[in-house]
Amino acid sequence: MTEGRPLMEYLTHDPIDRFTWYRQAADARDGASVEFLGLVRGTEGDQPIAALSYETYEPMAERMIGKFVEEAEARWDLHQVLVQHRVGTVAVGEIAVLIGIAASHREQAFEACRFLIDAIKRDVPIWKTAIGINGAIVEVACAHGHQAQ
Amino acid sequence: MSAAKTTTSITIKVLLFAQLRDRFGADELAVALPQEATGADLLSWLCGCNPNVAGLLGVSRLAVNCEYVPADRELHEGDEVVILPPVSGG
Repeated sequence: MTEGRPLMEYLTHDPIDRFTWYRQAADARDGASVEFLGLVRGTEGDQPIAALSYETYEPMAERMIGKFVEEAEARWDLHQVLVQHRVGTVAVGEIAVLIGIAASHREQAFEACRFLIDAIKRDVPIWKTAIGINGAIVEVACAHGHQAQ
Repeated sequence: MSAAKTTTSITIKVLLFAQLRDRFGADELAVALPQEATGADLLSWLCGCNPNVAGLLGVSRLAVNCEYVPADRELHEGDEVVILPPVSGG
């Protein structure tokens, strides 16, 4: 139910269209366009999975991504920035996150794109749960080396 | 901290996500703490409630009103405090 809720700018419950970035308006200043797609891999650790389920603390996630986009725009001379991150269940092979950067030069576009995906993975309150082929939750050791308890 | 203030308590709304929510079996808690309590005091209180989460709380971060804050941040009546286990987006 989305009625009455403010529209989310960076998070989406809907599948991400992989051609979204290509449909951005052309800008004659652009000399580089970099796109990053984060895809759901078919394994977590060594275990086969069917999907990842993403949950988020929405107001903080939206605010933090917005701040990171502002920071990228301040550090590099960017013409367009697009960030979309899925929440909910995302099947293997689907896009979990899309980042698009347009700039005059490739160095700016590559660096800003790398900055944004790293910042999102490090700080934005989004958590994934792996769903196995049988539909049950797959327990996976934390990639950061944290103990669960 | 004055003696008068320690007799007053504040109520903090605490939101839990992911593994922490599963461990506590709740996504929201209302916690009464002494006035001038900090984030560290809140974490200690939560550990006391459920010692099984001590390890997870030790690697979690605190946010108040949608901003990460250090554990020594003083909490205030009406603050929305979130305890964030290690994130895994992207």
